[in-house]
This record gives sequence, C-alpha cells and structure tokens, in this order.
Amino acid sequence: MTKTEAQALAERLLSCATADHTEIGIGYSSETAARFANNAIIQSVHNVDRGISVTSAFGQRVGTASTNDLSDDSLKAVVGRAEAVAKAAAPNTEYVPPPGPQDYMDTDMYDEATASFPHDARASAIAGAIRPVEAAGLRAAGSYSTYVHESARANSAGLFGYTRRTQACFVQTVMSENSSGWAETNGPSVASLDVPGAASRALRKAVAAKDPVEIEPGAYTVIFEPAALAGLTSIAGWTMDAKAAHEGRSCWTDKEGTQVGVEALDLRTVPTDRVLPTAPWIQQGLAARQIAWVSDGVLRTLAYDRFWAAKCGHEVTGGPGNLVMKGSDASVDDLVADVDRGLLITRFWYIRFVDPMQLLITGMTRDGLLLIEGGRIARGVKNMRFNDSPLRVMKNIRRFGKPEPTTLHGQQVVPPVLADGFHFTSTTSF
Amino acid sequence: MKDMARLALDTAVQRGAEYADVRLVRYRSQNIGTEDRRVSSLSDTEDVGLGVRVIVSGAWGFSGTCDLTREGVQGCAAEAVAIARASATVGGKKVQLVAEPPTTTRFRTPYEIDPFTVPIEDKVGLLLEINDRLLANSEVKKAHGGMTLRRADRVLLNSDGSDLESEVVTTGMSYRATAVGGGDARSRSYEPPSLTKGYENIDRESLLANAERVAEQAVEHLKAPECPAMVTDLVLDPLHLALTIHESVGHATELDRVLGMEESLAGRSFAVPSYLGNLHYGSGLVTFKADNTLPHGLATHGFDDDGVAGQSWHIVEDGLFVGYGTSREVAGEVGLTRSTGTCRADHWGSIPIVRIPNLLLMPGKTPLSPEEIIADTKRGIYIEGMGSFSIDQMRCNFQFGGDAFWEIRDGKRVRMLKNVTYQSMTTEFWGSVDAVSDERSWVPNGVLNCGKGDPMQVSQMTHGAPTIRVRNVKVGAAAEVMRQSGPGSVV
Repeated sequence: MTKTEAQALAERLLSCATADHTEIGIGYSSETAARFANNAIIQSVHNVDRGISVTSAFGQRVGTASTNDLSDDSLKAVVGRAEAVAKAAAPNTEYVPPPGPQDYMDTDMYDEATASFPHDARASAIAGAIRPVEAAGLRAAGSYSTYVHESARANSAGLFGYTRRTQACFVQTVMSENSSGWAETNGPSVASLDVPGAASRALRKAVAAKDPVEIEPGAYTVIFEPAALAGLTSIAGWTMDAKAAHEGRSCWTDKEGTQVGVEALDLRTVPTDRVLPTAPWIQQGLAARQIAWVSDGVLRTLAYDRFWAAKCGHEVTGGPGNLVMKGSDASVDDLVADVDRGLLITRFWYIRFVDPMQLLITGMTRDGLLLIEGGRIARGVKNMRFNDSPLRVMKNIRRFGKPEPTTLHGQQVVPPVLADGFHFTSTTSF
Repeated sequence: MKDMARLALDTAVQRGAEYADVRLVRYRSQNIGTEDRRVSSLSDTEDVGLGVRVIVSGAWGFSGTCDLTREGVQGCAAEAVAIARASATVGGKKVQLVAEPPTTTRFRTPYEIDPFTVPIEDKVGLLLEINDRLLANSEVKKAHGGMTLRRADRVLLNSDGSDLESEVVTTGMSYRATAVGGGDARSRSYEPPSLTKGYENIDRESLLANAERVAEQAVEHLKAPECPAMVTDLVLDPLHLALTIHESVGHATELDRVLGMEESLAGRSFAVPSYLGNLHYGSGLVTFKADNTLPHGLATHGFDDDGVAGQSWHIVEDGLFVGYGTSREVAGEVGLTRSTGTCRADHWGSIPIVRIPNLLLMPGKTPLSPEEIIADTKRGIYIEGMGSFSIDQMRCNFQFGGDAFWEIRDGKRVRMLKNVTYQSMTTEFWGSVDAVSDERSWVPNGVLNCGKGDPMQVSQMTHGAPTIRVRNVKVGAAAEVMRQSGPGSVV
C-alpha cells in the first residue's frame, strides 16, 4: 500500500462520512516467523492482513467500527456502522475533537530486503544458529521474525500521515540438562541483526549456568542485563498515567518534579531512534515528539492524553511509544568486575503487579541466573522469585552500562545496570 | 466462503502437500468500556480471512491472508507449501499426525439472544446504570465497566476429507469499584462467568443487584489492615481458583509445552510423560477433568482446528496425574492413537497450537458447602476473585493474589485484609487440599485472554471449580518486603 493509495482510500472513506468529526486509521501488516525447538524448525508462518478503522463523533457521542474487507460495499458499510454506533452511544465527556494537519518527524525505517526476506535464507540462518548448540550436545529453541507495517491516519480536519517500517528479531534459548541461556538481537532490518552472536551468547550463558546451586532468598546486589531491566522499566512506563496519579490512584501521585532515581537516571521516548523508532504520531494522529520522562533522576512529566493535558494546562505527551535510557560504554563484564558478591540476571519471566500503589511487582528469573563472586562469574544459581519495586531499583542503581535494543517488553533501548538491595523471596526447583 | 476454502485446499495438495487444512473464519466483536459516567470506548469490529496449514517433507508451513480472491487464496496456499519446503531443509523429527477419521460436522453455540441484535443503547445503558450505583457510595471515587461480545463463523476443510463448520458466540461483562483515600486506592470487582452463550448470559438483574455490595466492599478493602507474613490455611472461591487452575494445571499439562515446543517463549513443564500414572499432582480429593463438550464452555467449539471433535478426559484423577491436552501432532508421543482435540488457533492468521481445554476442578463427592468449610477453619484467609498471578516457566513456583480477602478466625470471617499474596509449589499446593465443596457451589468461571505461542496468540477457556481449603500455605512475603524496605528506600 503506497502513500498515494492510502490517501485515496482515506478520502473515499471521508467522503461517505456525515458525522461532526471522522477519524480514519489504515493499516497493512505482513509478519513472517520461523520458530524452532529441539534443534529443528517446528512452525513457520506468514500472515498478511490489513485493517480500516473509522471513529465517528456526533458531539461527544463516539463510536469506532473496523473491517479488513476493502470491497466498495464494505467501505461504505464501515463508515455507516461507526456512525450508527456513535449515535447509539452515551457521551464520552473526555472526547476531544481530532487535530488538524501535523508536521511529523521522519521515523520511517523500511528495508526492502527485510520485507522480502526469503524463507530459505531464514531457514539457513536458523540452521547456522542450531549447529554449534547441537555439536555441544545441547538443545536450541527460538524464533526468527520479520515484520512489515504500513499505516496511515487521516481525519475530517485535514490531517493525513503515512508511515512504513520493517523490523527483525531473533531470539534463542539454549538448554542443557539443568540450565538454560537466552539472547536476542533486534533491529529495523535483517542486515542489522547479529544472529551468530546471539546464538553464541545464549550457548555461553547455558554452559555458565550449568549445575546450578540453590542459594538463600534475600536482598542482593544484582546486575540486570538489558532484557531484565526492560521488564522493570516497562512497568514504570505503563503506569505513568497523569490522570490516575492526580486522582490518587497511582504510585506516581505527588511525584512529578521530585527525585525518583539516582542523578544519572535519564529515561526518554525518542520517536526517531534509529534502531527501535516509534510511530510518528500519538493519540488521534497528533505528532509524536521526544519526551524526557526522567532526567537527572527527576520525574519531569507523567503521561498526559489530550483531554487531561487541556484540563491541567500541560503539554500532551501521549504514552511512552519506546523507552530509551542513557548509559555508558561499560560492558556487562565491566559491571561484573565491580561486584564483590551478587547475581547476574539475564531476564525475567511472568512479571505481574502485586500492589500497584507501591509499584510492588513480582516475577521469576529465567534463562541464566549467575552468581558473581570477587568480580567474576562463579557459577549458576537456581531461579528465584523476586518481589520488589522499580521505584526502589531506580534509587539504588550504582552503575550503568552500554544500552542495547530489546523488544522483550516493548520497544526499549536500555543498558545493563548494577543495583543494590534487590529482593528475592523464594526459590524454585531448577 | 467455502468455495475459496476448497480452492485453497486443492491448490495446496496439487503443489505437493502431504497434508493440508484450510480455515476460513469471519469474526464479529463489540467491546464497550465505561469509566464513571462516560463511555470510554465503544468499538464494533469485523474481520475475515483464511489460513492454510500444510505438511511437506515432514515439516509444517502456514500462510494466512485476508485477500479472498481466487488469486489471493491460491497464492496463500502456494506460500504455505514453499514455507514448509524451506523448513524441511533444517531437518529434525518429521511431523506425524495421529489418525482422525474424516467427518462432516455442523456446530452452533446454543443461544437464545444474538448479542449483536441487542441495541447498543441497552448495553451502554446497563453499564452506566451500574456505574451510577457504584458511585452512589461517596467513598467510591472510580467505577469501571466492560462488556465483551464475540462471534466466530468458521469453515474447516482438510485433505483427510473433513468438512466442518461452526458458529461460536461468546459473551461476558464485569465491573469494578475503586475507593480512594489516605494515600491508598483499593478495588472490588464483580465478574460473573463469561460463556459461549448469547446475550441471555448478561444477567441484568444480578449485575445491578451486586453493585451496592461491590461498592461497600471496595471501601472496606481500602480500610482493611495489611496481611502479615505467616503460614496459614486458605479457603479459595471458584472465581479465584479459575486462575490458579489455569496457571498451575492447565499450562503444565499442554503436551507440546512438555515436549519443549514452547521453550522459546512460554517455557516447559515439570509434568513430564514419565510422571503419567505415578505423580501425585494433588490430594485424593483433587480431580481435574478436561471437557470440551461442556455446555457453554469457552473452549466448547464442536471440533478443534485439527478437525477433532470435542471430548472429555481426565488430567488428574483422585490426585493422580493421568493425562494431557494434545494435538494430532503430539498425541502419539505419549502413545495415544487419537488426539484429545485441543488444538486451536486464535485467528485465521495464526497457526493452530495446543491450548488449554475447558479444565474443571470437579466438585466434592460428599455434601459440603463453602460456609461449612469456613466454619471448620480455625485460622485462615478466605479469598475471592482474581488478582496478581505469576508462575515460573516450568509451572512450579507460583504466587497469587486475589480480588478480596477476609481473615478467618474460629470459623468466622471477621474482617477484610489487604495485600494478601500466597506462594507455593504446584504439587505441594494441590497436595494440601483437604476440603472440596460439592456441586451446589460449583461455578464455570473462565479466562478470555490466555496468552501462548510465538507469535503470541490469545485464547479462551472455562475453569469451573467449587470452593476448597488448602492447608499451611505461606502468605504475605511480597508485602513484607515493602514494609521492611519502603517503596522508594535507598539501600
């Protein structure tokens, strides 16, 4: 779907509209993924879909209808359905009429070679990643995925925007009899991935974690690798809603403008990030811009939608489309060397809220929990359950490493960090 | 619709597929959300497409498309075959399906009221009337409500000769009151079972009748004392148990996961095949039955996406681990000659995978009510509803919260508590069940948003349960961390 085609389609839909305000969303996606386990490809899929959504508003009565059928009858019908739904709705007293034309940042990252990545090349890359694992007598599992997304926004106030992007992601888990390791590589194109590197890291982690011992739960100095830290920052980002905070329903109540982390903590949304960009727009097609959520450790802003921003006299931020944290050039090994006794955490699994009012969360370590002693990796440790809060972690970070892209918990570019006093409350059997 | 599915199937076979199936599915859904006295979201969605799954040279290939022209479906089938051929070059164990005789089946959710014929004004009106009742309590500062209505019309053809059609309708609604004050906010919810049933499942009278209680309990929850860290007995209601069953039994007994096929995302399971017939999964009072014929069950669809009819079988019988959920691909790995028929895709564009069936904790065989269980408990905590939930990737170590909690003292519920979580290991937990209420208090609750697979798929299933008592469970460790350290404390 080209920009011209999207614009023509949007104009056709708008020409059928009778509502006070009409917003159109057009999307096209192509997703291809090969999944492997037990050293073989077990599923290989390709899916193409498209979608039209129409949001109609009569005053504050708002309704949305969508379809993936682009026939003439269906296009007329979807506008009619949206308007019927809107007319039947009770008012949405927080509805804000859509904005006019926008000046969008260029966040497009489209790579034709990724969009047309051949199936046999994907299979061959996976075979190459499996080979050394099999040679070591271990088992490999993972997936190699590529995505194409094209989307457009238009409305009755004259707004139009179009964007297209590709994305590629490879993850690998390696298992021995009693340990596992995991690694990922992400980017806007297949050329930006390092599949052999990720495969090698997963294998080294599984070997390092072999024959794990059980240790006592408690408070530990830890190194969160980027995928692990991303689990905590995503929770922080998701909960930063200004309205909930102002209504006293959030851990962020009364925290805007206050010190929430160490001075070096800097967390932003960067729409034009060259590895994991966001869409060029936020709510209702409003142009996205860079947002500094935390800088110098101070919470600079919460997330304001258009209604709440107008009510508070604040700029609209939208939610965090991506999260980018500043770091240093230090490697994970450099951070390990700084730890007398502690734990290296590869990633977390099944993170869930326990008490949102304290941002208390729980989860399990996974695929590589390693004991550090005297500045070196000593041995593998059986996985443990943590109960702690990102609010505590942010205030106990001792050192930042080099940021890496991770998509395990949304689009993030975050460093490994060394932090003190992270709480584990129980162990498991492996 | 069926002509295009037939064309896709014929194309796949002509291009060399040893096995092929085609699903053509049309979806319709309405989702309504309310916040306080406004409609916060209201959407009506239609979606149609076709998915082709093939085996070529012993490897799967899958392709899905929304282009239902002749060229579109033929191209989709050809793509699936090409994908399978490429996958086969990597080697590994060849896919072998256990047999399933071809059949012609038509299945329809029995329903009285088509949910899509009910005026939107009525649906919105009900949700807002409930919010009004919640907000009538001056200490309730926030009211949320939601309604989910779905229909899936499916055609499934396969190269074995099966010709299957289904229409499945799902309805559900819930609401929540939040009380705010003293620097805290606590909620209470009402969530009657979502079912494959028509709009008659939206019980207006019951929904309205519970609003005042829900509001009062949200306020009581706000003012409740914290749960201390301790070891105590738990009495768990059916809605709470739906999630515990789902996480610690349902996912643990998906055979594809056991065999390592979910390692890259959702993990594996401790319940390996060598445990069949000899692992004590629970006490002798614990029986888990899978039943994809359960009337109005969320996973009751007539047949799965392997073309296998819905069945019932035991997963755990009188405490002993005896069965798995399977697909035609994995059933043979444990010596089954027929799949248990629990292989489903969440969408025409997704590849079918083993999903949890309707998985039911069977009621006790002797008369016993929840009130009698509480009366028989000297010290404990009674938990209603769903809250926090987390489990490790082998399905062993778990931690659960809930929606509302009461301290039990000398056989009585004496006061609400807040911040209750419990942590246990799966077989230790189910092995500590010493009371199970009878069928009078059995409720078919379920989940609408079970996630599994890579790419991720979301599915639905029922977990009916009675009320149970579990002895000597660790509670309160999570909140104890924050009490000792403080939420923003520096080490």
